[in-house]
Amino acid sequence: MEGGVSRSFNLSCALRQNSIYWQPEVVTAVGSGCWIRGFYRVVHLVVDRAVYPPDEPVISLIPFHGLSPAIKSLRVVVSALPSSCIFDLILSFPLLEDLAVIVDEALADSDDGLGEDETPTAIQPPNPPPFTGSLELYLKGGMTFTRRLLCLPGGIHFQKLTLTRIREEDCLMATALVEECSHTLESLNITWSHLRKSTRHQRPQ
Amino acid sequence: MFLVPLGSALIDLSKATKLKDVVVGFNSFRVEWLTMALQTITPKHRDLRQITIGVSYYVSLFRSRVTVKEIMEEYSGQWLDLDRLLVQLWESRSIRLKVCTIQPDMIDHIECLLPEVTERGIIDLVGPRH
Repeated sequence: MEGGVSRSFNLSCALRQNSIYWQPEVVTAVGSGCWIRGFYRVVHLVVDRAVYPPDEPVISLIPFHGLSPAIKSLRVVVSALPSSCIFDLILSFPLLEDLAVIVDEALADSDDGLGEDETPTAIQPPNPPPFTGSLELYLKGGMTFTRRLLCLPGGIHFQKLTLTRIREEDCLMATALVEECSHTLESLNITWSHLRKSTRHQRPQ
Repeated sequence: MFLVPLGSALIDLSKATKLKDVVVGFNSFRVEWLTMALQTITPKHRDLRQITIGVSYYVSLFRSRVTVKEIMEEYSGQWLDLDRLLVQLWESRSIRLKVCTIQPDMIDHIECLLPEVTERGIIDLVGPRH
C-alpha cells in the first residue's frame, strides 16, 4: 500500500498489530502531516480501537482530522469516547456519505456542555458532510451525539439506517433519526434492547 | 398519528415513503410498538417489498425466569394484532414477510403467535426447528 495511492486504509490493522497509536513519536509524525498525510485519496477510513487496557490513555482522534479530503465512508469503533471527539472527527471530512459509530461504553456527553434538552451551540461547519449514504449507530446514551447530527445546517439524508441495541432511553434518538431521514430513507434496520423485567413474573429464588 | 408505546418515543414511518425494506429485531415478546410502527405504512409506500422480524428471547427468558408459555399467554393479544396487520400488508401490496431466529424452538412458538400468516403460508419462518 503506497501513500497517496491506496483508496482504503484500515487504521485498525496498524493499531492492533503494532500499537503505533500509542507511540508518541508516531502521533507526532501524524500530527505534523508526515506519512499519514500521504493518504490523500483514501475514501474509506476505519478507526477501530474497541479493546484496550483500562490504564491506557484516552484515545485521541485529532491526528486523523481531515486525513483525506476524499473520505466518503467512516467507521469508528471505540470502547468509550466523548461524543464531541467523535463528532469533531466526523466533521473534518466534508464529503462523508456513510457513517458508522460503534461505542460500547456510554458516551461521555458532559463535556459537550449540553443539558438534556439543549441543542448544540458549537460553531457549525460551513460545509457539513452530505450524509446521503448509510448511518450505523451502536451507542449507549447517544442522545447528545444524535442531537448534534440533527442540528447540522445541511441536515442528514441517509438512505439506510441501522440502529443497533437501542435501549428504551434511546428511543427518542431512534425516532428522531427516522423522522429526519424520512424523505430519503430506503432501508431501516432497528434492533431494540428494551426488555423491562416483569415483576409479576418473578419467581422466588 | 400513530403512537409507539416504547418509552415516550413514537415511530412514524408515514413520511418514509421510499422505504424498500424494514428489519426489526428485539429480545422481548412485547410487540405492540412494532404493530403500531407498521400501522404507519400507507399506500404511498409503493416500494416497500420486505419486512423482516428478528426474535431473540433466551436472554430475557433467563433473566425473568418465566416459561415461554407464560409469556405467550401474556402477549398473545399483541401478537394476534400483529398477525392481522401482517396479513393486511401482504394482501394489500404483497409485502414479503419474514421472521428470523437462531434459537431452537422459537419457530414453533412464532407459528402459534402468528397463526394467520403461518396458516396461509405467507411468511418465511427462518430458524432451527425440532
